[in-house]
Amino acid sequence: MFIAVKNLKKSYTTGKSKTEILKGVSLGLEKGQTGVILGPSGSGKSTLMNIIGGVDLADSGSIRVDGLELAALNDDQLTDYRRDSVGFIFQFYNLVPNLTVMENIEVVANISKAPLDMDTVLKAVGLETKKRNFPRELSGGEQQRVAIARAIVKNPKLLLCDEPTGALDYETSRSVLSLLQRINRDLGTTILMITHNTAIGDMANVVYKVRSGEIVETIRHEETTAAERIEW
Amino acid sequence: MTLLKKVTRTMLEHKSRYIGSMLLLMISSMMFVMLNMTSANLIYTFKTFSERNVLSDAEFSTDTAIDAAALSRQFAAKLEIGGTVDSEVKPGQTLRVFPMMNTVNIPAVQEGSVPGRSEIMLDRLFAETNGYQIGDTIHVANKNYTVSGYTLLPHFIYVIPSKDTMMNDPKTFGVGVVGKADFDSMQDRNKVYAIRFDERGNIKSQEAALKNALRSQGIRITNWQSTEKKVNVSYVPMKASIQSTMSAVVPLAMLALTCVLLGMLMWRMIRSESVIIGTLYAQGYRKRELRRHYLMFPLMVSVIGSVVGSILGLLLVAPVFNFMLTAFPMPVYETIFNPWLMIVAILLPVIILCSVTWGVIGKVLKTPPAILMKGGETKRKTNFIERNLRLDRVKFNTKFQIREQVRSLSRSLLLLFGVVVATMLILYGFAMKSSVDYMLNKGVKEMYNLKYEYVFKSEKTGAAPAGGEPFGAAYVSLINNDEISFYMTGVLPDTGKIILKDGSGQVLKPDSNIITAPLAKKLSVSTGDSVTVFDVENGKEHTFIIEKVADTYAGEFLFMPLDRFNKEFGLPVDAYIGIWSDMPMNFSQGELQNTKSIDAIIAGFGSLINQMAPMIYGLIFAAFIVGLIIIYIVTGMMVDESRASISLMKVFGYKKKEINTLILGSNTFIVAAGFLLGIPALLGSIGALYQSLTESLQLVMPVKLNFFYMVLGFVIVMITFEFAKRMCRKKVARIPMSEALKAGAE
Repeated sequence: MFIAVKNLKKSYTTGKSKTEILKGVSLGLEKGQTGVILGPSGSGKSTLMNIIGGVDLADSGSIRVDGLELAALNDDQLTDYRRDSVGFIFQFYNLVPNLTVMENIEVVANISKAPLDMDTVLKAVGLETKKRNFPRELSGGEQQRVAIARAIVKNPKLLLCDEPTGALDYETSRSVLSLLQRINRDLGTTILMITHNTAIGDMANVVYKVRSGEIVETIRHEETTAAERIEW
Repeated sequence: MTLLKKVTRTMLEHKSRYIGSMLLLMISSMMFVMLNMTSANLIYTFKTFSERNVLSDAEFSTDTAIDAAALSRQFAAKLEIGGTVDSEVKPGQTLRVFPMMNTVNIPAVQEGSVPGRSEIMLDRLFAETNGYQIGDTIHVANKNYTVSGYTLLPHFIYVIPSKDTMMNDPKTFGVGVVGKADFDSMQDRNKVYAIRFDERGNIKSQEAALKNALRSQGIRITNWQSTEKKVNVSYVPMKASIQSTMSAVVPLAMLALTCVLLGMLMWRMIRSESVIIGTLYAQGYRKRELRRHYLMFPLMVSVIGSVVGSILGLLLVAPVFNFMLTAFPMPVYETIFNPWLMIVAILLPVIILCSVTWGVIGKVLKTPPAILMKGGETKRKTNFIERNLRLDRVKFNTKFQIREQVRSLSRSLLLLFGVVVATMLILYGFAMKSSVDYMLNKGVKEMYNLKYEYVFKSEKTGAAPAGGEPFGAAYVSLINNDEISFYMTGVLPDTGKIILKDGSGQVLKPDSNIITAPLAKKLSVSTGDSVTVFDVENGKEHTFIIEKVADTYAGEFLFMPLDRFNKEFGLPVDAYIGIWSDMPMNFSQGELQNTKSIDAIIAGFGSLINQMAPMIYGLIFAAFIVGLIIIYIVTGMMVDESRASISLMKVFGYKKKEINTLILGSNTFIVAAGFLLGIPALLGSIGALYQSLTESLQLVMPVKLNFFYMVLGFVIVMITFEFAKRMCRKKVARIPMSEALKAGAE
């Protein structure tokens, strides 16, 4: 199992009140698969993804990614894990505003052990003509493509996408999803995606439905649907 | 009221920015009040001392006695005969004794009483340094005197034996006052007339009329010393004037820094709050209400900073003024307090800072609320440099750092300006020291290859005493400007006692007319030019062609071969006025006009350099604080504005060190550039300062900055920068990764 999460618990304490975000979540994903975590706001899906991505720590439970037990890693080791193995894509792109498109990709290539060729990556996301533009000069869809390019340039083992189409219109969303699917197919990158759009679940090998910090349903697809054919 | 809470909360949230701004203002107001008030008191004290103790306009000596009473009447002036006697109290310790004057240059009694028979008043610093208390006995000019009190002399405020000494050293030199009867019984006394004209306007022309009247009576003026050129007096107004200039320039530079800083802070805060402003605006807040709200920020900063600074400045006036009175001892008859200085020190920052903010908020409020609510108009703008930078071939780290700098030009310019100011403060003391070092090492030590100089009262002829080398000297003034006087010196053409070198370091043989660089600079002459002067003693005119310029700052001289000198001044071919020697020589006291020990001059430079040390350290400390505040605030601002990027970098797996290098290290270039720009800015301002010294003190100093001190200055600036970065590292470390994960917009 590439990702193996067992009995993961996480809570936050605010003043005297304690809120349980994850109440013993377990899930798994094979290498090269696409997983989707579906759930409403506040269900704990972002926390789950953050823990898998090594940016947050669980209170208890086990998270193994490619054989690495994240709970046992210290701060520096977690940094190395994120640096070498994980690519992030955010709902609001999170591009560095004062860097050009090319430089936003370079910001990750710069710290990668074996980055992909940046021009090739740019071409793959269809932005080769915009490499000198600043993020503010791009549309939302283009900005998300830059974010995808930035995430894949390090050729990560795992691509974590937090509502990658949440801020995009229907057509743009489909083209972004299609791009993610192509990456998964061509580079063999394992993708774990958070969304509240149930239709997106059709393009995943496994769908985990989360509600109030628990996985309430797991759906496995033998055949995945092409992104271009997904409708909502 | 609710909005007021927002002001205090915002300020507490970013306390380092606002405290930094307040500190800068505090320093600025403190220096403004302290320096202005001190210099005003110094000038006032000098003025009252001059008036009440009847400071002479000039002192002069003649070859024969003059009728003082008749001249007083003729020129409506107070004229009194006095003089000096230099007595070696202990080996290496000279006391210059003056008679108790009654009408001009009246000594003030600081403590004790006016000297009676066999009594003496001493200058307090000399007495205290050497352990003479009131009632003690001191042996002066072969007689024991009882110390009757401590004195202050209006014509000898800065207690140095001559212009060459530069710094007062109470261990080796002091002044005393005895009764006239005791003075008249002293051997080898100089007779000096002191005059003060009743009509206080146009002193120069009255002096010229007096000189002409004396000459017309066949009286030869052997020495004329205008008080405004006498270092023992002119140092005081000069120092006050430098301080006045500093009190205007330094606080204004700091105020300008604070204005730019706070203006930028306000601009950034208002821009980042454009959504809030738009929302409040849309919900019915009036423009003036919002304006009033945002004006509270500069108002609080400027009022707190300037009030606290002004009070501190006021508290420091007394100790600083007293400290200055130890160097320039004067009686303080009364002090002055100028309330306008306080009012200006408080109101100026308030008015300027509030005006800057008024303009900034006004500009933002012109934007329609709908646009403000979306984050304002400026958000989508990319500046010209940012857009046109082509950095494709540059390494990513360098590229990122350059982008960080050009992203906000105002921020980078502020940092640059701050580092320039800090650099100037740091190097100011070092440049002064370099100049003095240069004057000493490339001047006195290099030019004088001798130990002692003995000057006789009148020319001698024949062979010089064994072990001595003869020289001639004439004190001359420029024919077209008798304010400028200097010594013409006749030296043996093969002398080894005076070593002159040209600009390239080649030794110049003194077989021609050689002018020293400071004199050439003062007269604005170079090789081939002619100089026409008149002999101060007899008024005869002489014209000389400058043949060479010696690059030495040991003094203002025009050297020529002794035989040519004697011929030009109508003296016998083997005449000389003084002797240079490497060993002490014995002459009867009556023979000598004065004696100069080169070692004592070198020691004087040494003491000057030593006394400069506290000033240098003080300036370095002040520069460190100012630099630290500016760099910390700007770097902190950069961290705040790059929070999203920093958070994102953490998510991507950037290590702390890498983030620090990219974000905090990006200012390195600006800091280095600020340092480099600070050097010419400093040398230019020091040049202007020295120019004013040349005019007021007749002292020409070379503008020098030793390379070692430049490197040291750079190291200090970089240490300050490192310190500021270290302080900001915590700020970077505190930015959570969740900030990137929760980011709601680009």
